[in-house]
Amino acid sequence: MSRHTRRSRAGAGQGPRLPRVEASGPTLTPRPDGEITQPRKRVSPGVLFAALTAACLIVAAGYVAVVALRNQSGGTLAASALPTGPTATTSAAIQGAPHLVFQHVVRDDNYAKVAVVPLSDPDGPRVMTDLSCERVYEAAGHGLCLVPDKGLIAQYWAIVFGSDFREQARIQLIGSPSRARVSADGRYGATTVFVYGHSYADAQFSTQTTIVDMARGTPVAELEQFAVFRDDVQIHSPDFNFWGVTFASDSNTFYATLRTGGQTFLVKGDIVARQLRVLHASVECPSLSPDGTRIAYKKPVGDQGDWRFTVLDLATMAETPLAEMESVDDQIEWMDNQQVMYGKAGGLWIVPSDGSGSPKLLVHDALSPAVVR
Amino acid sequence: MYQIENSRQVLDSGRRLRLARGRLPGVARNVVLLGLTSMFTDISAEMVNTILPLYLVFTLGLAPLQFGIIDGIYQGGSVLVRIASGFLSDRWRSPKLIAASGYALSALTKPAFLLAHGAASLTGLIVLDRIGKGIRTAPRDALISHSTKPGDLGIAFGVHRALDTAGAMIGPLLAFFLLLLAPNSFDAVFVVSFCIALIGLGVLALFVRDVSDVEAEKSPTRPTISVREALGVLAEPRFRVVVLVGSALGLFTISDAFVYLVLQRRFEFGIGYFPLLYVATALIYVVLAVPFGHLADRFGRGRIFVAGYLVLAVVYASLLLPALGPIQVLISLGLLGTYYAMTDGVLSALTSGMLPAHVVGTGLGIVASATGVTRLFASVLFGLAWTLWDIQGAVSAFLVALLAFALVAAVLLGRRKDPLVHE
Repeated sequence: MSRHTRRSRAGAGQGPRLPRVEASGPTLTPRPDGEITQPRKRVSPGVLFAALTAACLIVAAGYVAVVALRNQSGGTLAASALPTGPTATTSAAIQGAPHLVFQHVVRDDNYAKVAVVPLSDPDGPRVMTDLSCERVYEAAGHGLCLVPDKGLIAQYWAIVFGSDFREQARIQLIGSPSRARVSADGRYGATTVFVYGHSYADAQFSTQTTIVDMARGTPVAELEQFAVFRDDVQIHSPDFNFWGVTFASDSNTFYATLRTGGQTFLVKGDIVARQLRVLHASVECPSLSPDGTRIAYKKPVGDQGDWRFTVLDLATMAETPLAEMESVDDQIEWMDNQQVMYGKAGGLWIVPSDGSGSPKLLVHDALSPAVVR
Repeated sequence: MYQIENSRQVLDSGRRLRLARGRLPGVARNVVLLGLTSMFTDISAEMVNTILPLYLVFTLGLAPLQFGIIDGIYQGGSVLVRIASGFLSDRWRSPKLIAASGYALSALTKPAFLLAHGAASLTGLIVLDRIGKGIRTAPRDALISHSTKPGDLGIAFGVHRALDTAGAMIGPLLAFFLLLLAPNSFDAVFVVSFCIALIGLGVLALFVRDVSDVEAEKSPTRPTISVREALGVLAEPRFRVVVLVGSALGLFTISDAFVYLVLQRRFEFGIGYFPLLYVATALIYVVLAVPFGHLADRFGRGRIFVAGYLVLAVVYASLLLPALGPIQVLISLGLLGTYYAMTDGVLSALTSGMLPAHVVGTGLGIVASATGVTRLFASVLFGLAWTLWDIQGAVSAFLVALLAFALVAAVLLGRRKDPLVHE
């Protein structure tokens, strides 16, 4: 806008709301000094502002909607009619026999609460606990519950709980919860959080995996502090990322994923010795079978970030792809030595561990399972 | 220039009066529009500021110390550009243009946060954002001053600060709400923040009238002001007093963060309550900014300004009292908000009211820079005092010093009602 037009407006003696003058039609306006200003067709500021605001609101609302949906996908299905009504059973009664502990994912008042069902009737009535978790695991009366604390400043916690599902201790986490495991004897726990990025599908992400002393409720070590050996040679790299711990029956031995140089590896760890050894390539989120002979895991396939559930025989290193054909992002839980369980599309599914059969839905509206015997 | 010398000026002042018609008596449409610009911009800025510690420390894995350093740069980064932008807005007689460039710079940093993945690039963005804030502050206040009758400056700045602070309250709540909708999605916060900043920029660019709209027909041939002429404001004794008093009082102003920290230590509530403390303070500020602006116009801006620092002294004293109950925290926060309402906008009104129009931008820039520097220094000083002695000792020292300086300030500023440089 030139000074000339500005002066002409003022000189024409228009009212105080000068911006409106610009929209004052194509009539020729004689100025006091006899000049005639050129008529101009200009979009009024009001219209421009309305357009700008509308565009901004659409972009903002659209982006938030896309992000919110992105976060939910892979999360839960819509609520369905479920036998979750009140029952006379208590969690203590169920805990006397083999049972399943998982995250209840019906979008009702109990959303994300930890639920307990007997293994004999896994899709039957569930007993709700007061504990809400994003990821939960339990073994031998020691549980880990990873939970975000959404305040103005979000914080994340690993809550250590006992067989009564009451908090015993909490450890602050530095990122959003991903995986939780407890050794079969309840001595150690392990948590994985995303420090950067939000899923394993992100091209760039960073994880932190912490070993927890379950009795004390304190961190023991972070896997980044462990020495890593490959073919008996120690290797270093600043791009090491660890996640998805699974414990062996002695609880000092564990397996986990190491990613470096864009490749993932199965590593075998020793907590006391603070060491990790690379065993096998292309393994993510390992899960050791109850008899300790096989590892069920997510095997990265193709270049689209897909996975195929596979079982690795630790004696022969033979790989057996499982009958689940979909790409699923979860750490497998062994139902027993013959079947594995995992969360997919908001439900718990099982499939035989020898590659036969087909996946079957075991529990509706549940995620993050732990088989407790 | 506010004296009526001839008929031309009578006409001009009549035009100014018509310009000044707004919802509140004495508050021009331009001032409300600038207030809305600031409100949208503060919503945008505070959304990001709220999540920035979390984003830096958790998402990028920066250590808290690194964050502390960035935070310091972030607070101080804007101080020095204020004088330059104030001067340029005087020289080019276009505070709107300078202010708009500052708003635009800050707006553009928001989408850039999505792309920044290291401490260096993030620090750069934060500094750019602060430079944008530094650029816009003095020209914006100059424009408020140019759009307002001299007798209504207090209430005009009150209205602007109330809208501005309302935005600063909405921002964190909006960020909180977005993170509830889409947990951990900082990118959504940055995108929405950018969109809101654009709306604020739109209000400024499309509706706010620049000073040349008013001034051009009045003195179209006035020569362009030189650096020497602009800095000549410092030769004016009354203005020097304001700069010195404002700086000296700033030197003994404990920053909000420290006040909250002291309250937290004394009353032992969770750190998670900090945002609520901030909201409580801002709420009182929003409510009281206009009434105190009005009082400043009636009873003297210098007097209200100094009285504001006496209220701050009461806040310090309340930090030293035995911790009895949560009501004490609320009273302290209420008084802190009252202090802001009595000093922040009132200082700009006091400054611009005593300066000739053609150097208002420079003068406001000088005052903003001087008080900004001394406040930054005060934070360091307080941190040092806390380390050397303890909380009680540090607060006591600041209380005594503040009271002493406030008494001197009362003598210097409080005796006369609103001195005008050119009277």
